[in-house]
Amino acid sequence: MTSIALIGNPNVGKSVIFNALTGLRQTVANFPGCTVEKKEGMMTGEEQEEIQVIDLPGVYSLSPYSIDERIALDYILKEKPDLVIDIIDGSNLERNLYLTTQLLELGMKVLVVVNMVDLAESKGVTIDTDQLSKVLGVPVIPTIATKNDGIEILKESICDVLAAGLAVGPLTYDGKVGDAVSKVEAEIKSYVGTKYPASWLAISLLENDESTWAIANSLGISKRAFSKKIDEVTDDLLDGDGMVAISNARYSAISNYIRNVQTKTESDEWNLSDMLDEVFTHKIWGIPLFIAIMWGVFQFTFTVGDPFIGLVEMLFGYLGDLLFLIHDGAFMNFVVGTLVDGVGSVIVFLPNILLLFVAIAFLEDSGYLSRVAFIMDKMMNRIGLNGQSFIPMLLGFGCNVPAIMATRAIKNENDRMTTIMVNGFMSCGARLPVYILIGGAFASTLGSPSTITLVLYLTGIVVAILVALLLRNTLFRGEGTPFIMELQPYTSPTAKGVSRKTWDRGKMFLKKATSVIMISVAAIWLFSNVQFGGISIMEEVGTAISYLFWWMKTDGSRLVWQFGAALLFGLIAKEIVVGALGTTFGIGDDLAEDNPALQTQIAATIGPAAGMAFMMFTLLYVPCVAALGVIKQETNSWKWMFFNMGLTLVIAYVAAIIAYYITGAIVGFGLQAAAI
Amino acid sequence: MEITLDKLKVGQKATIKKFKGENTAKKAILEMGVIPGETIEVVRVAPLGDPIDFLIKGYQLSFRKKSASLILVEVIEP
Repeated sequence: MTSIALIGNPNVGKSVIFNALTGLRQTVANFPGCTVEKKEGMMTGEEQEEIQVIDLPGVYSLSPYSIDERIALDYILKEKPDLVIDIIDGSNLERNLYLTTQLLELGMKVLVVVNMVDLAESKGVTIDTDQLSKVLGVPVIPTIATKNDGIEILKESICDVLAAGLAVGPLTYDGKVGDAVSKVEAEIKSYVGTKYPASWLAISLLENDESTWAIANSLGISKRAFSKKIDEVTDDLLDGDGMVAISNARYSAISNYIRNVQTKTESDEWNLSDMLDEVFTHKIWGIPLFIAIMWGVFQFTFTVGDPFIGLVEMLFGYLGDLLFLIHDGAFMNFVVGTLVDGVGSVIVFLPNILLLFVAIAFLEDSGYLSRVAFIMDKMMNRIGLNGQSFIPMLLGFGCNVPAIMATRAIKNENDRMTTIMVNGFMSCGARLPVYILIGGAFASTLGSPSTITLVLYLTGIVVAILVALLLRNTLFRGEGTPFIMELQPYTSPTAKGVSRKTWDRGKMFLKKATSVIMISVAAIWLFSNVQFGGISIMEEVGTAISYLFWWMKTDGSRLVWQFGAALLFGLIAKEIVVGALGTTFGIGDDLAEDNPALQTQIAATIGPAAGMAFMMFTLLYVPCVAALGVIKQETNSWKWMFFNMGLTLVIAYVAAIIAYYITGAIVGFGLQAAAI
Repeated sequence: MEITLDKLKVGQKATIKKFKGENTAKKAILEMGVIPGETIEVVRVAPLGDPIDFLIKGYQLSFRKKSASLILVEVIEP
C-alpha cells in the first residue's frame, strides 16, 4: 500500500493536518520495539485507493538525541515512505527548514506544507510559496490548518506527487563542506549500495554521530578503519569541527533558499507574548504566580466538578433503580451491587479528572507549560533532573498513566528513569476520593479535609524530591540532560485542541474504569460474599494485611480488616479503595447518601491516627496495576516494575508509621469522641 | 569584546564566534540555529538565575548557563 509520513517540528499543527487528512479513520499502535505512540490513519486517493498516513513524533532534527528523533529517523530509513509531508511553521521558516534539508539529504520525496501562514503574516512575514517550491525543487503548499484552509489543495497535490513519481536527487552542499562530503563519499560509496544515499551517510559521518557509525558498521564501514580518514578530511577542510561546519552548511543553504522567498517587516514593538512573559517569568512574581495558577487549577477542578458529581451519582442511582424494576432478585442484586454501583463509584470522579485534564491541556496549548519548565529548571536541576521532568510530574496529579507516558519527551535516560520511578508519589486524581472520605470522617479532630488533602499532596511532592535525589545519586547516576527548550509565543488555546487532548487522556482513565475496575469490583463482591467457615475470603486476606499494622495501639482504634482489604484492592486501582470500603462495611445502594454513612462507620471503627496512616499509605504505595503496566512498557523491563513496587511499598510503610505517631501525638490515637 | 555567552547581560546582543570544546548540548544547540556568525540576544533570565532565554533567528530558545559557557561571542556595542 502507498504510505505517506507526516513530520515536522513540535507545535506546527501536525496533528491538526493529520486529522484533516484522515478524518476519524485512525488507529493508535506503537512503533516497533518501543512504546512511542504511532498514529496511523487512512486517506482516500483520487482513484478511491487507500493511502496509509503515519504521524511521526514532532522533532526539530533527525539527529537522534531522544527516542522521538530515533523513531522518526528509523522509520524513514527502514520503512521508506512513498512521500514525506514536512510541515513547517511559516512564522519560523529558517529553523523549520533545517529538518527539511535533512530530509532532502536522505533523497526522500518531500512535500512541504507551510502551515500557520496567517500567524506568520500577523508577525509581518510573507512567504512566496511558489518561489520556495522552485528553489527547493519540491511542491510547497500554504495552509491554515485550524481553519481548514488549503487542506483540499494539499490532498490534491499529495495525489499528484504520488502519481508523478518525481524525486529530487539527494541534497549536497557547495564549498568546503561539499568537498569534504565528496571525499568521504568516494571512500564509502562501494559499501553503501542503494539502501541509503552515500552522500547522506558521508554527511552524517562527518557530523560524527555515534548512531550513524552503527548504521555504517552494518554496511561494513567500521569506525576503526574509517574514522582516521574522516578526521583527516575534517581537519583539512572543516576546521576540525564537522558538527559546526555541517550545521553551518545547512543553515547557509537555507538562507539562500529563503532570500527571495521571505519578506520580513522587522518590528521592535513589544507584542502581547513578550508582555505576558514579563509577568509569568518575572524574577520575583514568576514562581508565586505559578503556585497561584496551580491553586486555581485545583479550585477549578473541584468547584466546577462538584455539581457534575451529583449528576453522575443521580444517573447511576436511577440506573440501579431501573434495573431493579426489570428484575428484583439475587442476580440483579449482584449486578447492581457490583457493576452499577462499583463502576458508578469510579465514574463519579470522572468530572474532576476530566476538568483537571482540561486545565492542563489549556496551559499546555497556551504555551505556559514550557514557561513552567523554564522557571522550574534550576530547581529540578538541583535534584538532578531537568525542567522537562516537571510536566510529567504535574500530569501525575491527574493520572500517573499518561504522566509516565509523557516522560518520553525527556532526552536523558537517567532523568527519564528517575522521573518514571518517582511519578507515583504525585497524588493522582484517583487517590483524592480516599482523602475526601477518610479526611471527612475525621473532620472534627483532624480539621478541614482540604487542609489534610493539601498536606498529603505536599508530602507526595517532598517524598518524590527526596527519592529522586537518592536515585539520581545511586542507581541513575550520570550526567544530567542539557536543557534546551524553545519558548514559543503564547497562543490562545482552541476548544478543539483542548477537548481533543482531554479526550485522549480521559480515554485512558475510562479504559481503566471500564475494564480492570469493573472486573475487580466484581471480584471484591465475590470475595466478600464467598465464605469459608463463616468468614469471607476478603476478610481473611484483609485481616492478614491489617497485621502489617500490628504496631498500632490495641485500644480498638487500629486499622481493621476492611482497610487491609481496601489496600489490597487499591493495588489494582486507587479508584476502588472507596468502593472496597463501602462493600466491606456493608454499605451500598444509593451512592448519593452512602458517603456520610460510610464516614460514620469509619470514624466509629478507627482512630484519627490510624486514618492518617491509612491515607499516607494510600498516597505513597504502588499507584495501580495500570501504572505498573506502563512502567513495564516504558522501561521495557520487569525488573524496574518490581523495583518500583518494592520501593513504593517500603516508603509507604515507613511514612505510615511516621504519620501515625505524629498524628496521634497531636490529636490522640483513640476513637473520635464526638463520632458523628 | 569577546566573552562567553553566559556572561552576556539581559538586552545585550552579540555575534557568535565559535564553540570551545564539546558537550552533550552542543549538537542540539547548533541545530537550533546557534551557529557562528549568527546574532544572539539575551531576552531574560529565569527567576532562579538559570536557564537563560535567548533570541536567535527571530525565535526564543532557552538553555542553561553551563551550555552557554562553551560559546564564545563578540559583544555588539549598542
